[in-house]
Amino acid sequence: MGVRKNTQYTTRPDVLDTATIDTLNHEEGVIVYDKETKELKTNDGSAWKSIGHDEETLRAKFQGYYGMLSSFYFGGNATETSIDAADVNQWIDVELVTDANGLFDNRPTSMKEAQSTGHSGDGTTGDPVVFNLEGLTQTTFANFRASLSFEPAEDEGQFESRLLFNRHTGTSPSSDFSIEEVSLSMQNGADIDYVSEPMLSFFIGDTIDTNGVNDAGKCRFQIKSNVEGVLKLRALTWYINK
Amino acid sequence: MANIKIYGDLDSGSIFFINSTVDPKALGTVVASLIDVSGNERILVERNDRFQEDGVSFRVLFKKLNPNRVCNQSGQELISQLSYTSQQVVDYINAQSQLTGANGGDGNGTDVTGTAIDFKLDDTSTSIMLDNGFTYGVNTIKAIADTDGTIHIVSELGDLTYFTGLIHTDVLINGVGASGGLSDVVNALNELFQVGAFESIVISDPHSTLIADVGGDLDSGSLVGNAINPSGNDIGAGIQAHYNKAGYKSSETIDQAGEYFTFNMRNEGIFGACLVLNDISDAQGNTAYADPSVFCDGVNNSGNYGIQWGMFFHPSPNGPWTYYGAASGTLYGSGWNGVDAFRYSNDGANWLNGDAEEFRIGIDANSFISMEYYNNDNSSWVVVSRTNYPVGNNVKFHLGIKFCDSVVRLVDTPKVHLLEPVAPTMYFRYIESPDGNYEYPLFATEEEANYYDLNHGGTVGTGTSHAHTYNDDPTNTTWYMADTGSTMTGTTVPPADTFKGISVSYTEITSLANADLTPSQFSSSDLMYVEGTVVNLQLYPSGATFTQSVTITPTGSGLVYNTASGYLQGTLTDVPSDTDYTIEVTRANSYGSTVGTFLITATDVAPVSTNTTSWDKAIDFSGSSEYLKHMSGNATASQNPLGLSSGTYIAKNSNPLYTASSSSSRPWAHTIVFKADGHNSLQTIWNNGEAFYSNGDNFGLEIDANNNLHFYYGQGSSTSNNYNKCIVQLAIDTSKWYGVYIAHKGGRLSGSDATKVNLGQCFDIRVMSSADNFASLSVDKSGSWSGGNWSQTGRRMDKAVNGLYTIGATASYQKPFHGKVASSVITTLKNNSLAPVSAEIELMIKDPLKWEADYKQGTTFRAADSSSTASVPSVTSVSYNYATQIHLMGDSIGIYPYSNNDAFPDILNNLRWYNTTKMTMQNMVSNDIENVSISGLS
Repeated sequence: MGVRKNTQYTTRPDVLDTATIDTLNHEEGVIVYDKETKELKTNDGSAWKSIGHDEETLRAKFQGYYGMLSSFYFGGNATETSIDAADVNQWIDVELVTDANGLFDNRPTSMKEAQSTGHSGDGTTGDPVVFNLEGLTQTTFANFRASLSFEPAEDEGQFESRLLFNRHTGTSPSSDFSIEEVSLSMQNGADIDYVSEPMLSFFIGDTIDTNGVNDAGKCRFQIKSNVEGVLKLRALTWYINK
Repeated sequence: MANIKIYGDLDSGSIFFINSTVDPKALGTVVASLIDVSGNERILVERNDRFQEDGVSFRVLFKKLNPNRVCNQSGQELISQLSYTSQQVVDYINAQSQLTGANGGDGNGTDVTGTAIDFKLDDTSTSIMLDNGFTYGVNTIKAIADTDGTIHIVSELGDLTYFTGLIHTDVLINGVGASGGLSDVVNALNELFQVGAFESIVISDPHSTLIADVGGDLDSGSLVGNAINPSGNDIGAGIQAHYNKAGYKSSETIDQAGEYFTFNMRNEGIFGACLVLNDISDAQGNTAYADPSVFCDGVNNSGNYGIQWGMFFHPSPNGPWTYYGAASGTLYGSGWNGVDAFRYSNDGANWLNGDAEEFRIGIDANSFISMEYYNNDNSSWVVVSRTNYPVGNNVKFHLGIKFCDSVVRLVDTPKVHLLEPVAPTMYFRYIESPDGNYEYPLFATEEEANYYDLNHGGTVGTGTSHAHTYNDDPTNTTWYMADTGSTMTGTTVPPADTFKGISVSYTEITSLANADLTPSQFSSSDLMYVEGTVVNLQLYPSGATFTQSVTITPTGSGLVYNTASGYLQGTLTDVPSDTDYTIEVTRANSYGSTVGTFLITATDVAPVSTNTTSWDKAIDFSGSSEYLKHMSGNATASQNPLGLSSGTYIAKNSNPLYTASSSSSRPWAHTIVFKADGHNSLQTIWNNGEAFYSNGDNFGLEIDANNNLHFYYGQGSSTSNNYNKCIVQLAIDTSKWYGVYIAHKGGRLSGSDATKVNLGQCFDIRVMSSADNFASLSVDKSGSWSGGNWSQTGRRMDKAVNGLYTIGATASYQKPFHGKVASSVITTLKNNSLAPVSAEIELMIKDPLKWEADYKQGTTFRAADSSSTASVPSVTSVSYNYATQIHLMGDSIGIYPYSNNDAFPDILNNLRWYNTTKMTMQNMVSNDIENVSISGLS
């Protein structure tokens, strides 16, 4: 290695903690380094604003995912939801028992700061998993993926998936809405597993963004079949890009 | 969960699962079995024509179908409504999947009793259409006369029945009611159903006309039960309301088809006309009812007792009411509720008035028991009803009349009508031959015909007959016709008729239609012969009996049809181009005519060339700056036969056939053979002059974007637009070669003199082409006296024309040509001499070398750009070389004196090699010299 050279910079910003920076005058154009948040900040004459992060902080700030895996991925079985005659052609909340090692909370920082837990509901009958969108703004887009199989009792059936969204309180209309797709056309006979990984994309519009503390959009995964059968849910995952 | 209808269907060959997600599956591919699911009976339904991934397990249609959901086609729940067990449901599904025509489904046919059905073929004669909406392919179904006395429509192959119970009087064919009896209608339907190569319809059961004793014999039977002989003239009546206590029973019996009883009844009341068995052992159906010993015994008050079958009349419907008997199955006739319904007839009205009406009951021609009333308006018997089953031959029946109240009266003694022992069973037939002409009655035996001759209505004969055969009878049967009482020229089927008082039923002798007998259409593939071919084609088949005529269009083919031999003969005329002759062959006989055509194409063959000149090469110009340049040197007119170094006015010769007489005259002639590409531009084919500039003098031949040829001569401008112009030919064919001859006879006009007429006399312009193999020479397009085709005039010609002779463009490669040039000939003409005439012109275009030998050798010639003349040398001198030049565009070889050949880029004067009389290819390549074949020249 050759001789290292100094940079051409002849000045170095002050290296300060966050609290100290907050006490400084709001002098337009100056630059300081926040050693707590590891970011450069500048002032527009009225407030301090970040102008640079380290890579790890940036990643956590703008992207992440939230995965809920059943025991299927840990040597066990997927969680089954029975679609009986009464459930045929109805949208049904899915059941999901998250494995003890199956929760992966890598949500963006703002979501974590807003809600320590990403979802509500334990995934049993009557208490479905509902994913909380709090901490997200209208610049966010996301993907959702469910991993499942379906075993129909009748041939030539059809299986559909959807994300059902609950809007926050500051919107009109306040009714729920959904994003749907046909996931399976089951033409190869009954009594066999048809595997599917439905992927649904969405963006955070002005009715499901963060409207206030504990007031943001939510979504849950539902399925509908036109034949009886058994749903075997393996995992639910949300991928978020803020 | 909704119920599912599961049922098989033979028509579609499928088993359906209505109201489920499962589509219909082919019959025989579905298997059901009972399974236990957590203590509940469920049905596993699989298909045995598809397998799961393991390749062994059947694909599952229903994994655990609840049997309670399964319904039949009618929607009945098998378990809750029909009390099936789960296993029976499984069996039901499997049975539906295995349906065949013999065990269920629609294969048993639809009962159409009482429904009129119209049958017809579609316009293409490929489908049989029924007006109830069903269609079948021709030759796929057939009609059969069932033992129940109705028509059944069944599949031609296999055992599917489509329709049952079709009464023959309900059948229409092409909108017209089918005539005749059951057998006739069946035959008519089958004739309709069979399309294609005609198959004889063998009428195995023609409708018979049984000749019973119309007069009849009085029966000697008696009243039975408590029947009384009432006061007055009537002979029988009841005394109370009872269906089996009073009546009349004949002593006579009938036992043959065609035999019957007649009797007269009056007063509107209840009576039954019945047949009573003579022997209980002959009973059909309920033997308790059939027992003749209980007839009117007064024990059971029921119309059924004592009779095999009976038709009962009643006041409430004012006539036919119901039927009773041991086997009461009945089909209504038209006298029940049809067009001749008794209750609406005058006879019914009479009965209501208490007047006597005549009835009969007996065994009809098809062995059914038939009860009929006599329609006095139509003088015919009308069937009220009949059994739907035949009775056995030789089974003896008595007449039984039940008086079911005290009102009705038996008017007089009934009669029995037995078959006449001497009468043959008569099978009346007719034939339509040819179409629209009906002949009848015809019989299969001479005995029938003779009997008819003796017994028909009107003037009878002596029991003689004659025989007929018919060309359109495919069975070629000999039929017999009585010598009297017959019709040979009927225009319709035989009208309703009686013979010895008995209604006659005709059966049609199936005959071929005129269309079947019209001569087959002549057919031949098109033929092609070269012109001059001797043709000898047989058009008339050996042994044929039809007449045949032939027309040939257009005329002039050289062929004629020899009617006697049936051959098309002759020698195909020479044609200028391929020519189609349509040969129309008309065949006719008494049944009609057909017309067939084919083409004979006479192909044009170019004659074998006898030219001295070779025509195997040409130079291909592709526009741009490609052209041929004469090497005489700029303005060296003495080396160019077209040279005009002096500018002066030259008076034309007063005789336009001659060249100008002035010593300053420089007449010339030029030919060129070329073929144009049809390029969309104004192009120079050849030019002599200074190119198109201001004050430039030029003459030459050009072609425009519309393929119009012009000769131009004049001065100035960047194009020839301001020149004298003559239209050589409009819209030349770019697929043909053209030869253009232009002679300037020396007159050089001022602008004011350059009129059409004067110009016309100064030039001679001719055209030939490969369109007729260079056979004909056009008229003079310059026009001599008339001014011809000069489209622009008034431009001066009295200027010197310097510059160069070029082909394919001007010397400044202006207006380049797109096309091929095979030859160019330029020559001086002598002053005050007869200009070339047609024969020479033609030869100069077609065979320049022979022209030079025939018309130059042994004569004198004028030197180029000079008035001096000299003898044409046998070996081309330099001077003569300047005066006559033949450029053959690659075909010149061994040129004197050094045996030079045309070789890129030099195209030599064929008469002599000389550097200044060759033409050189400018901006071209060696393979622009191409091989060609010119029809009429090569």
